[in-house]
Amino acid sequence: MVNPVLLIAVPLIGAFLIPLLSAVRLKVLSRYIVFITSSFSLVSAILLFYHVTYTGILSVSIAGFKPPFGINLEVTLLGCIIVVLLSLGVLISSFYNLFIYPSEPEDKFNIALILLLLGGTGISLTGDMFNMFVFLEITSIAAYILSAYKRNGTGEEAGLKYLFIGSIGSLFFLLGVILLYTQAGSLNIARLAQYSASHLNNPVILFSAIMFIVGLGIEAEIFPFNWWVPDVYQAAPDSISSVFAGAISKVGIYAFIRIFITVFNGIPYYEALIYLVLVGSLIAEGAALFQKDIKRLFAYSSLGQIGFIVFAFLLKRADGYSAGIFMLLNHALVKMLIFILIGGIFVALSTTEIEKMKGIGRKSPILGILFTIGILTLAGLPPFSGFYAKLFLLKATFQHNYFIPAIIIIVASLIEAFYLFRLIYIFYSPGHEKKHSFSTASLATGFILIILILGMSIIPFHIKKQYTDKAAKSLFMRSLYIKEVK
Amino acid sequence: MRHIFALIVVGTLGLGLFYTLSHIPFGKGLSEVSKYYVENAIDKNDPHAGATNIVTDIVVLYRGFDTLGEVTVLFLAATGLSVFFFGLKKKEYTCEPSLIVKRGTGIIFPFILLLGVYIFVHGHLTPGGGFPGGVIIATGVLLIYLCCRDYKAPHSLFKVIEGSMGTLFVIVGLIGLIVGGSFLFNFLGAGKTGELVSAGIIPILYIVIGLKVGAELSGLVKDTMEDV
Amino acid sequence: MNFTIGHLILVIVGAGIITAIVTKFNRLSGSITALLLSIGIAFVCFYPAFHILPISFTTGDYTFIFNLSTLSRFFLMLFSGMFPLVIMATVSTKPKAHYYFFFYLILASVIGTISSQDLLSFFFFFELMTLFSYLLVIYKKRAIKAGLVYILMGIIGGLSLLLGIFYVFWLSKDFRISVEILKGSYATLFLLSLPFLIKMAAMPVHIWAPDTYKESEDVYTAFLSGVLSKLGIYGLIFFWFTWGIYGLSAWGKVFDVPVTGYIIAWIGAITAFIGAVYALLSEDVKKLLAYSSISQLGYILVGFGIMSSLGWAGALYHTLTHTIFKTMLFIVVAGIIFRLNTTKLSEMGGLIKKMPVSFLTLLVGIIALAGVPPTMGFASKYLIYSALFEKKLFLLTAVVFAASTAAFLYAYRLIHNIFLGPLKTSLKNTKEAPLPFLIPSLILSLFLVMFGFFPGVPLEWINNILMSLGMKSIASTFTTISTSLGGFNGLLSSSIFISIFGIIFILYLILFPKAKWVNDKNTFTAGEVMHNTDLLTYSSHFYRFLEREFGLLIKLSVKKLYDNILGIFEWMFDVARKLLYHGNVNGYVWAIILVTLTFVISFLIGGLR
Repeated sequence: MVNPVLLIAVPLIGAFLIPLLSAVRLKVLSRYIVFITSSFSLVSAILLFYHVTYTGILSVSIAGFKPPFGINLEVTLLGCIIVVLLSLGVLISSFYNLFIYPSEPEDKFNIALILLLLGGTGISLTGDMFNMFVFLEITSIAAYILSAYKRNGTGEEAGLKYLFIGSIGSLFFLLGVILLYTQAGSLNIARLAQYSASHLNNPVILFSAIMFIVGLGIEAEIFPFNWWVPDVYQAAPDSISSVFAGAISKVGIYAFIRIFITVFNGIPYYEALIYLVLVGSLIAEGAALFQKDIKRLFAYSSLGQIGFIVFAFLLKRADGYSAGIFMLLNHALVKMLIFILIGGIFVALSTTEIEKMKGIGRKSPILGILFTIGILTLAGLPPFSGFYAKLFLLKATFQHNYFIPAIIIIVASLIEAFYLFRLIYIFYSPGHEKKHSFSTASLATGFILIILILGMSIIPFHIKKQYTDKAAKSLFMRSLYIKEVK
Repeated sequence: MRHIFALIVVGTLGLGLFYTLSHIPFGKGLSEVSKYYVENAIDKNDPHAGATNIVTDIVVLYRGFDTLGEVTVLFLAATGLSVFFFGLKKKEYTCEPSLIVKRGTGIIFPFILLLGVYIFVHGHLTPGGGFPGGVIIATGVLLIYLCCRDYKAPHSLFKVIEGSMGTLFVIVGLIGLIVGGSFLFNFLGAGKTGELVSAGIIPILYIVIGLKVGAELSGLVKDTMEDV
Repeated sequence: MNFTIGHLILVIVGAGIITAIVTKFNRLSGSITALLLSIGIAFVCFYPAFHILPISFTTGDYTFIFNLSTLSRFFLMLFSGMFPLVIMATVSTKPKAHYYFFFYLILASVIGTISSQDLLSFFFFFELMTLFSYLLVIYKKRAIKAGLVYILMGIIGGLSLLLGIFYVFWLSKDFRISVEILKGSYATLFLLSLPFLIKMAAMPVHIWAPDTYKESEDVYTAFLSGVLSKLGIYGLIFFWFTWGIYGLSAWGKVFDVPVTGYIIAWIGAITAFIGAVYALLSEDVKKLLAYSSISQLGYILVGFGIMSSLGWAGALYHTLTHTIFKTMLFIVVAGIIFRLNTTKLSEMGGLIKKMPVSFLTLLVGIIALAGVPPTMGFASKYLIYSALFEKKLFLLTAVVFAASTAAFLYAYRLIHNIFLGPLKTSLKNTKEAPLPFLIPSLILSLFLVMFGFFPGVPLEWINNILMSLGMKSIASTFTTISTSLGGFNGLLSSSIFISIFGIIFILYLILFPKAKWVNDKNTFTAGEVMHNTDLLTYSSHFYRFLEREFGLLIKLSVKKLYDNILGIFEWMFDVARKLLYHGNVNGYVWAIILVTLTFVISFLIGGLR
């Protein structure tokens, strides 16, 4: 077993080593540090995941103090899945950066990237509310830096928007934490969960829940709070958009479900939120129809998908959670793939305008195939894993007797198909006689992700049974989480 | 109109907050966690908590992990600002600093450094600690910039301190993991409360934090004052 | 020898992979491999000693059942029998590796679809089929736009199927097909029928078909139109049978026909008529055949909609007939296009001497299309008309009859514009289509004629299907079909037809012994010397007089209607996007604050109450 603390300590050492290295003029090494660190995180997160599968939730205290008094890490299956996704995303992004260098100052870029990994890992593993806030801050600040990194006007604008909206989110989150603390007298998540389950009608708890809806809604990109997303995904460097869309949004969702499912055991204004989220998804998918910029298009598409993932977690059923986790995995892999490939296209064409991409699928068949598989997966067509995600979600929806949400999901899939197949149409329609050199780095990274996606498509039921069902069960049974801290 | 609207919004939010806060019992004894802290840190039941004030114990020991996070936040914020300042041309000053500033800085600078160092070295004994100490050191660097227009700060020195101190913090934590079985464990024990060498890893961590914050903020000052 | 459907599907996929690999190295040997493997697969499906066993497996709470019913055996034979013939026609076009790969995958998914006995695997393979056929449609660069419409319509169908399946699941808590489906409503029926109507290109949802058939690769079009579209009628029978005709009757009857079936029959009749009109006004040979295909599938819908055993027998019979002749016509036309490199009817003409075999097969094809003995087209039309008369649906009969008349016209146009009239100067050096095109079309025309003489042979299979569905069988022998309205003897009527033609021919030889071949210049130009004989060919706007008559019909376009509906939706979404994601950070912050405010107000109301 890997001590989960190492998942935090190693990226931190990595991040602190980078200034040392750049002081001795070995700045170039920084990209390898990100690569090694994220590989370490990935491997140890996978090991940890298998360990947790056998032992159940793992609680590790920090500084030797018993949980309610000190800080502890609580490693759950879902948390491990998120860390695996996140470190995979950062690994892939850093692998891509080994070949396509980010602009100067590169060492700062890599620091931010490592700390993004660190923050996300911390959020997913921590068992302490305030600690979660600290890691949320780390994640957000790293994300602000990275989204504003391309300093070409749009970058700064997007970063600034993200900063404004994100700091409102942090503020509300902090307020929520404070209010909870005044009532429960503890910051430990398990202790808070134990408390708020028996004090549901306490207005302070309710008010703090509202604060959390707003604060985490912003981080998790949930509908009425996700305004910053298209700008940021569009303006960020390609490898970073891949991490944002693939992993960071999932970290936000993790925080959201950890707090609302584990701590509050439900969410206030439940019915209203379900429809709000779904309508938001529909609007986002509709907005994607008009995008002329491919990154913006996929940003809106992400918003739509995230709406469905959140909806799955709002279902209050273990199979809904399982479907949500499956969707989350699927969406993370696909979005990483797509943004990495967009990076490859950008290197070749130096544009992200869709109209200028005519015929590149025929010019570069491998890119075309990878992109097409990604799109088919996203569109939820069999035999790819997106189909199974949709299937599990619809099944859970119908078992919960939600007919209208199911129709909304179907309509949204239809809209998705419209803009996704329009992309295939553009990629394969005649145009662009000039031969371009598509970056092999982006194709190689694409291959790794495609293998994962195909793996998920081949054994979806196995993955559901072995992984997502178990994770969903441990999420659904709050007592398992609470029991760890006594 | 705009103002009235804003007023209504703020008023409603405030009303909600007020309504909520009115349900919070004020001054009604200590919560479970607070009671534990008071009993262990002040009454010295805990063999590991050795600072003279409870806040230091909480900040560095009980919630040392958060402090590590805060250090990281500061580090990240400084990094972000230096990214922002990267490649920007800085403003040229037209007038020279006065003689008083120049001389005064020369005299006062060592004392500022000393004060900063004193504050973080005595973090476990007196109020203050790593963060304020570091900030005071950075103030000294800022003062030098103000008096000498063509001063070039030892940038790589800042970076070395920043990086090595950060690493040291994590390494101290890892030693705790190896020795005591948990990260940031106070493996040195509490010692005799009130002495300079006491409270286990608290002074070590405060020195680390102080130097790191000082170097970071000095680097930040440098980024704002010089072309990068 | 016994094997399961799973093995069969895996073998087909394996064959596809092998073919693709071989084709990657050498195109010709790849084609031959494809041909041999496809013949092998057809043999496996046809040979009676091979028993294809059902298979079912369970993962978690999902059960997948694959079994060949009598109905699906019929379609299995249809698909696997047509497959090697179509593959044979591809040999001379030398396609790339992925062409064959997708072709085999389509076959595999089709077999998966027809053998699925639970809703989920049905959907899975049906969508796979849509996807792979789309990937093969866009094999040609020119078809990319048509392919977009094809896949979007396919996805609309797929999602409607998915919703319908889940609606059934909601009622019965199971994906297996059970009587519970009977509780389904009109909505379920609609949702479960729409995908198949789309696949069959029935009239309001046919918009994908003309362009897709026109632009896709020529030989593949034969498979797409001749074979794949039959999955539509399979799906309709598959789902409607589970309701049962009597179950459907509960919703009322019109003219002794269940009302839902009556609607379908009308959709079919209108499709048949309008499709035929569009076909005879087409200027493009593939488009003509495309509209012809739409129109002929309309007949199948009419037969299906009548919901009597005679009607379903007609529908299934016509399914077989249409599969054979439409595949053949497209293969013949593909051969002609292969030589001429054009699909415009105005650029063809007078090819009879250059391409005699193609002419002969096309002639048999259009005779079958027109429903005239001595081909099997007669029997299928006969059954459909008998079914119509049996229920006394005269208005419907009139429309179908008008469609048949139009079918005569476009069939004649097809053969006239390609083969008759003076030879175009540009086509002087045209050779007969290559053998790979001719062999399958000859085989298919042989079947058309043979079943014309022995119409009872296919009917025997169809009777089996009808009985397995719990319906009356049609009395028939080897050569005769007899219905409640009388019957006919295929051998006799075909022989009479052939003898009449023979007698006329002999009479012609006797009466005009001095008849000789006249040069076209003689008749048309009255002695004047013409240098450009191309002007004599009358082929563009062949039915201009009808164009005037149907002017209004042509102007009415469903596509425009869909475009307008889409436009409205796009406008709505655009407004929503501009209102919400406007890019102004001030507005964003305000929005967040206002949402928070709403929550806080509702919190206050809840708290103060």
